[in-house]
Amino acid sequence: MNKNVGLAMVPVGIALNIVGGLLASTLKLPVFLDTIGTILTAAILGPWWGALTGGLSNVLASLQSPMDAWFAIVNILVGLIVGFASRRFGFQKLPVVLIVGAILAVVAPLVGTVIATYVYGGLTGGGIDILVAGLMGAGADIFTAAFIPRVGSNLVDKLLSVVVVMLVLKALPRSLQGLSAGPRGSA
Amino acid sequence: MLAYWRPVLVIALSLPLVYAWARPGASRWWIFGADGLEQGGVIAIRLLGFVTAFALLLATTPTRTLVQAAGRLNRDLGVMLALTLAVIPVLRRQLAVTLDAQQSRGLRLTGSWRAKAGAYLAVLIPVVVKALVRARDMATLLSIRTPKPSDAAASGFGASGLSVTHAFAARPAVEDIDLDAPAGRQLWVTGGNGSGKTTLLLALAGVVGEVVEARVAGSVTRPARTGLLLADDVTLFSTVAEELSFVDPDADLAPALDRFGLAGMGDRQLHTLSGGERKRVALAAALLTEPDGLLLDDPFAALDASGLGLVRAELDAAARRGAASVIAVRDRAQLPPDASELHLIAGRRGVPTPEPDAPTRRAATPGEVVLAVENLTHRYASGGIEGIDLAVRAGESVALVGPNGAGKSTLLKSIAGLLTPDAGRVILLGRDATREPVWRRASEVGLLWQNPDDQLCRRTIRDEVAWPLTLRGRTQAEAEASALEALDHLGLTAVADEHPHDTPASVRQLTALAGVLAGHPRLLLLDEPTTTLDAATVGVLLTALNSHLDAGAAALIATHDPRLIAAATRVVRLEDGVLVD
Repeated sequence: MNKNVGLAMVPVGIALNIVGGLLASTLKLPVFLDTIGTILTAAILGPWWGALTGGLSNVLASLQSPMDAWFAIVNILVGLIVGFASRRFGFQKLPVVLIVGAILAVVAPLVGTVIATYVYGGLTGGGIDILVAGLMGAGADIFTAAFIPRVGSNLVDKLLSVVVVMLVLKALPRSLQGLSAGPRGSA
Repeated sequence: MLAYWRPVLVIALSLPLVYAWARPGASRWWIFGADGLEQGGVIAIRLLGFVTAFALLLATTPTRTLVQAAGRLNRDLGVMLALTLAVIPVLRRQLAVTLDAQQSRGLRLTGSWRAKAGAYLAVLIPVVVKALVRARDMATLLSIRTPKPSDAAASGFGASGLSVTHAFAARPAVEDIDLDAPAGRQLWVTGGNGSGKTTLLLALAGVVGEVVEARVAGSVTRPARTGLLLADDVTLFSTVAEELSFVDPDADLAPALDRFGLAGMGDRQLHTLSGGERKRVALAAALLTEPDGLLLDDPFAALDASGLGLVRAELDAAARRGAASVIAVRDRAQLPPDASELHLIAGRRGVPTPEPDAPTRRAATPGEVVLAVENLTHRYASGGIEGIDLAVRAGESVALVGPNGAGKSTLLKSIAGLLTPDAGRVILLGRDATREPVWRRASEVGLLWQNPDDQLCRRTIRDEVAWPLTLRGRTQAEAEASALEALDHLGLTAVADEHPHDTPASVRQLTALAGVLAGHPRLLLLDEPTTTLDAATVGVLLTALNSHLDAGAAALIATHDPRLIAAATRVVRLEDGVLVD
């Protein structure tokens, strides 16, 4: 694949992360859906471009919210997992997509909790801190208190995100689907 | 030295961390073990200090500086960050346009979770398609503008037995083409929509098979340095200066900006420019380095008279200095006298057919007032419309003309309900519809957008035409029956099961028109409907439009197209937001 395709697609993927979240907010949906671009790029171009999309998204987001910087690791993992799955199986079959979504729903909060715990002491300044503080007050250790609230929100958000991306990919013309169409459809 | 305090701070705060990790005898993973908990706390504090310094560095560094610094570290990283900053406002604007477009078809943004989920996809899909197409165009421009070692370069463009079949396409887009455009000469490529002009230019540029997935047969030769102008005025970066500096980092921009009518616009954001201004920037980027070969796709679109003169002057200057040019145009009237022409029909060399007769003015047929606008006013910071009084009767088509920025689109959007007027009223079929939500007017008002890609969201043309009808309460079977009828009237039955984005732009525009007509609205609002259409397809549009007008509809058409102006019942002119005689 020509490198310039990746150089152009990564910025578009980052912008789609913003657009996906903005649209969810406009429709007052109770989910973020702000990794749409990362998942889409990974599904179309593969793990490395997907990881780059996820990582650079957080670098740019940290310009306004510095604490987002280290969570780039989470989004890099999202890109890698989706990309490898798409390269092997495509990203338009519901069982594949749901399994990937379930993996993301576990990996993302796990890694996010490690970052939140060891870098920020468990509290990252978001609404979730109330739950973390409550669980710690009830006797849970810092890691458990930071992990449990994250699992719930990630389960819904990541599963929805991968299903949305699958539906979008299925609606695209074949020429734009890239790796997501399956092993025969590689770029 | 003080200018470097930020990176010095980051390094200073990270040194203890590095030492703790690297000191002799330290286990790399002890921080996670029971014995390391106490020392883990110390490490965490050091990590926190490093992270805080790093985050402060990012948050206090101007974005532009960050991009430039990244570019000095790694060119590709700098390019990606710069492209990202440029494309974010473009996609945000696209989101707003698509939200408006889908609402005008009847989509509601409120309701049950299921309805909202459907709305989310209906808006996201067109945005994603446009984003991916833009990414492909950006990759094409990056490939052209990135110097690379060339094979034996020719002095002009040549092709022998060239055939190009796009991936997943049933037939070649370009078939068995021989051409020769030697140094100092111009070759004009003509043909209707979908005839293969753009594919031919991309093949001559050498990006087909690399950026554009396709099978290529035959041979192509090209000069060592080629400038490419894409049809959609695609640009890469945020400002005019950045766009031109990427092409030629050593160029003195002031004379370059003067040369292309962009004086004083170096710091302007590209996404804020008009279509004509963006075309000039794209043209400047293609011509700035005075390449040996020029490939221009539809260079005259969106340009005013001075822009047209600029393009022709630059082409003549390129010929005088020995550059070869291949120029693709839709309208054969744009060819210079004695032009060397290659006419394409369905991808093959062919003979041009005579243009259809110019349409005649539609006879006035007075009927009931379908639309009455009274003192309609909507003000923007930089313009809008003021005190518009206008009536359109059944059977009439009214051409709304005026320069760019006059307020034509603002007027149409205000009538459709996408903009809330600051004053005045919109009377629709005798009732005051001024404050009615846009989705409620959708069954009576059909709005056709300038670019159909802003709204296409279904997998087949049939579904695309039927979908808005289901939004308004029709059953799937009723909607499909109406859709097939509308497609039949526009000659699109044969492509009903095709994916809209696998068809040429003219078919997509007719698909959007079918979607509007299928609902039999009483008022048709058409915003520049012929920008992607060739002469034959304009005739199809006019025939379908007249059929609906004969059945009692009324039409208000914002247009620059002389054919539509000639065919209208009457013409009204808008300038600086007001109707003039």
